[in-house]
Amino acid sequence: MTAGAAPLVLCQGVGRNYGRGDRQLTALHDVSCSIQAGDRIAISGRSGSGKSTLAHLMAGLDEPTSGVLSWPALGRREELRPGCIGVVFQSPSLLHELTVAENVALPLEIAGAEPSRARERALEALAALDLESLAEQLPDELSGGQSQRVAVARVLATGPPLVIADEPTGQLDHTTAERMLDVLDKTCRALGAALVLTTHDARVTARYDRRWRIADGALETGERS
Amino acid sequence: MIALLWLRGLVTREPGPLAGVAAGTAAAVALLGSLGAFFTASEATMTARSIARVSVDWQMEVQPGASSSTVLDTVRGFPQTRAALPVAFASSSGLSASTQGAVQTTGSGAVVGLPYGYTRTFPGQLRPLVGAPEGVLVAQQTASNLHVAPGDAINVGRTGLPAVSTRVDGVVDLRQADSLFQKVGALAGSQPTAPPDNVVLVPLSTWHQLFDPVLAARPDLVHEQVHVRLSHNLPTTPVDAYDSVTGEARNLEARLAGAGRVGDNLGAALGAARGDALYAQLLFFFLGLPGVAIAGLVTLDVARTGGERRRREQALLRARGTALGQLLRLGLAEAAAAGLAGVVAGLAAAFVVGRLAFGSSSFGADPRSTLLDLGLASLVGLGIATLALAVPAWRDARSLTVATAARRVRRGRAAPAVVLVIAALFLAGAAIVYTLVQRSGYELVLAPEGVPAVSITYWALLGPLFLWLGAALLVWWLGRVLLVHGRGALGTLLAPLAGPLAGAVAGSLSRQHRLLARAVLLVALAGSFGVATSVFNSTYAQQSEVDARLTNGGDVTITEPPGAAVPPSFSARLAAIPGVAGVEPLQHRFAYVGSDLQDLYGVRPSTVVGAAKLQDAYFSGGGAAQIMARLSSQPDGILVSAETVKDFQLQPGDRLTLRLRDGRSGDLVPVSFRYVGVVKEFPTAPRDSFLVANAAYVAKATSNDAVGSFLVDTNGAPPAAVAARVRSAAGPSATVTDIGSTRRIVGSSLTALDLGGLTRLELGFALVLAAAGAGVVPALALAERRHRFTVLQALGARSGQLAAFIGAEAFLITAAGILSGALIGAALVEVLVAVLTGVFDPPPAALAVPWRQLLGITGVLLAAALGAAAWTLAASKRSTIDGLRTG
Ligand SMILES: Nc1ncnc2c1ncn2[C@@H]1O[C@H](COP(=O)(O)OP(=O)(O)O)[C@@H](O)[C@H]1O
Ligand SMILES: [Mg+2]
Repeated sequence: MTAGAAPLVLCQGVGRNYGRGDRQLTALHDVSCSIQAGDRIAISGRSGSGKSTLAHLMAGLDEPTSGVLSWPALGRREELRPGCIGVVFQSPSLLHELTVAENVALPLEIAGAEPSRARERALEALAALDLESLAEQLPDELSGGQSQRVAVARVLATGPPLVIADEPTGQLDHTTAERMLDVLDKTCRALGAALVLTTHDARVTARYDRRWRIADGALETGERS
Repeated sequence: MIALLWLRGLVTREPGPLAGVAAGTAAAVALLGSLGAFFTASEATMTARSIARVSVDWQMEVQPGASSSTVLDTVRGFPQTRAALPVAFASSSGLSASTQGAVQTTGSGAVVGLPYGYTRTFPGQLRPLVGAPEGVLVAQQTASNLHVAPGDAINVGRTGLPAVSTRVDGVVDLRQADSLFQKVGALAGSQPTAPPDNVVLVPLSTWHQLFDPVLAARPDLVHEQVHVRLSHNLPTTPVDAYDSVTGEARNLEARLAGAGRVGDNLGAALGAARGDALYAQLLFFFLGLPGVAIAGLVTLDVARTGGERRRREQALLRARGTALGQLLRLGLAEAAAAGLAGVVAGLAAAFVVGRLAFGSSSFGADPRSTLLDLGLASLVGLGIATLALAVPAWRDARSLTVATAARRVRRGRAAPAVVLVIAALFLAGAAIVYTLVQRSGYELVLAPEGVPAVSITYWALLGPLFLWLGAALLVWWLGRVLLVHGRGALGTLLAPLAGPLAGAVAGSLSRQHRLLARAVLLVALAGSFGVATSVFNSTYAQQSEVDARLTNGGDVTITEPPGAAVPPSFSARLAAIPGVAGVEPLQHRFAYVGSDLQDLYGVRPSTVVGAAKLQDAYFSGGGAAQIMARLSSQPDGILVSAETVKDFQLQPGDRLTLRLRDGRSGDLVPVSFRYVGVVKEFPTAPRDSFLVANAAYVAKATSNDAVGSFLVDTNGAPPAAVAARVRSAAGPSATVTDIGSTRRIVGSSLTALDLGGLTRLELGFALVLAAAGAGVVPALALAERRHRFTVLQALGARSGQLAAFIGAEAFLITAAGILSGALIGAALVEVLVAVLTGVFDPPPAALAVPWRQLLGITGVLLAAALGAAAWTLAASKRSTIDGLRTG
């Protein structure tokens, strides 16, 4: 990756306020950073520090209230999904009434893929993560770790250049979390995708060379941008 | 107190389900309360009308050998007596009069002695037609037979004594001749069929002068009565009032120690109303309780949407060591809060709805039983809330641990086949009942005269119940099976709407088969309730219209007194009156068929069909138009009753010779007719045997074209107003009636039921409930839907795709619900009308389907479903990504 290539995400003085008037709360304040293709970054911070807010902004699921947020290498906000950015959420994000395979195939179908083709790709993605045995299970029949790995498979199936994982291990015990992160890493490597991961767990941060910190809505990258 | 804190938290955190339970409870309470109060008030009206219809409450027959004055004294001393007067009856060997040089004689007749003031004390008994209201009075029919008018002399024959001559003071209409001449003490059914044809009423003192000598010689020809008016301070329901009055009668008879027997007219009237009251109660059960059941089901479903929250919180509380008993108390507190709120709102709504739908008169007519009704409704409401909230809380509290998370979706197992078997059994049962009630001799309610017990054919009630239960189970079972196994077909069906997502949407619908089948069932049940009530009630309205028209004849009817020779040309004068759109003259004569005296109606067959709105059901062997055409093509044709056909062994085309009174000579002359058909009912005709022939033929054969009544068509102009104008043109001797007042007076006391108001009320409820089933329940499961939306949005779904997900659900629930609701409703009303056929008078030939109303129901349902879907979509969009932020 050459330093001159267009970044996947570019934040310039990005801020996000919730509420209005006296009730106003600044969740994110003057954040500037950029994500390049192939980056692997862990963002750590305590609960309520603004991790999810930042992750959702970067994924194009939310809009900043100040500053400029752009995806120079990917396109406009409306063009990001499905396909350009895969997201693994903090809380369960599988549809309860669809099977694992159907859940994984869903973003492909949303993108307009033939249902049979989508299913094929979904099964491949599940197999790649050793989850093929779960294909016909319903989400409520899965453990927390299994659910999160299925969510990763769903990202893998669409093959995006950028994966954003918001506290993917937040609800998991340590061993399960480790397995989950292995899967995530394996996926990103397979896709050649950049990974941005948020966590409040120092043990998770330790796995990544590039560590950013967030506190009270302020991002500290420790790098010159 | 923990419970209060808990409740406060609950109301602020997740008010939807709790408010929903309160609203469902309120709906049930309001429906039950307003219907209960309405039916109670209706029963009170029935009692009041029955009392008002009777002019002499009791006719106390003085037994042979007893002293009439002793009986009179005892009766006057009876606490319930308000007025008592002696009346004497004697059989006359015959009456005669010579007028216009000819002598008219009659067969045996009755001479009744009335004390001074009788007409004032018992106002309903006599209606003065011409001349003085007191003195020597002759009955209308007798005056016509003798050709006498006030001022003429008549001779009253006395068995074993010379006839006496007396002068007629007035002509009266004996309005309650049947009960006046009843045989007191005779067993029901052994009463002579008709009162005497010839009646003279004389002052009691005159009667004694004339008949005391007869009494000495022939006591069997003379009898005395004491006529009694009672205090009408009676219980409000016909059943209780009947029991009270018959009890008093027995009491008085006991006091008289054999000296007198009671002819209980009031008891008989109330006894007849008992059947109607029972019908009213049955209607309440069939038209009211299903609504309450649906409200209960909707409430349970609403409560279910809060189940996940409750299980989560219970798990937490258990983890913190809260005891089972405490959890149960929390559940009860929830139920009590929602239930009480619902009951209060429901009672208020019952009051408002009752006023709006029935008018103020129906509410609180009987405060005690109204209070009872409302109390009962409140209990049912609290029961529903407990079932909805406390029972599931208790069940979950016992079975849940922290680890067992709520399972939102379970594997697609279709409903067990045993449900189908049960459904089939119920439906078969309904079919059997339906066939049985169609057979002749079936009567739902039997209130035989003089028998204290009223009997109900209970098994017939199972018909509608089984149908409803069976159909409900079938819809539910089919819904589940089709959703689980018909997923592929569903996907194909959805493809145009959802594109590549069709499979996913179908899968999603299929896995939600429990929720969806329930929602479809609720819409179907509420819809069937709406369809059944609205068709039932419009059929009822149709039949009461037919009944009123059958009694009154036209919108306004002018009935000429007997002997008045009003020619058909008088129609022209009537037609000139403003508001009169058409006039149809109808001859009315008396004809001897053998020795039997029957009413004969002379009609103009070509015009009477439309003018009197003749129904096909009035005739047998052809429709109204067909039969009248037959009469028209056969100038000497005659329609007779089925009994007459049987009595005389008539075959079509047979000659039938009647004796009719000739207009010129006044003598009975034979007139030959040809039997062409059977008539069962005819406007203004009596219930028993009568005849219908061509007016032109009758006029020619009797040299008399006098018209008995004119049927006036007002073509939409208010009949009462037209009647008032017609009255002054028709003169004082003619009777003018309008269909509006007839509708109020005639028919069974069931007409006290204002089914119109009931329809409005029930349709309103059906709509609210169906809309709740179609919209509110799915919308309340919003947490579920929000999650789905957030995920879909995060995966990049566009609005069209989001809409497909929610729209498919709404479409499925509404379409399947409306379709099955219409089918169940149609079957239900068919069975209901068959079972409750006694409510209708006359029984309907066909159901009256109020299409516009039904289309309206469908429209509102669609709007509710669409509205709910749109609202869910909007609410879900608003939720954005926050739903996936926290854990
Ligand atoms: N929709 C919202 N409305 C108001 N405040 C919010 C909203 N979402 C998040 N916040 C607040 O913004 C801050 C940052 O939240 P979040 O990004 O979820 O933190 P983290 O993911 O690091 O725990 C918190 O104080 C949180 O309470
Ligand atoms: Mg977070």
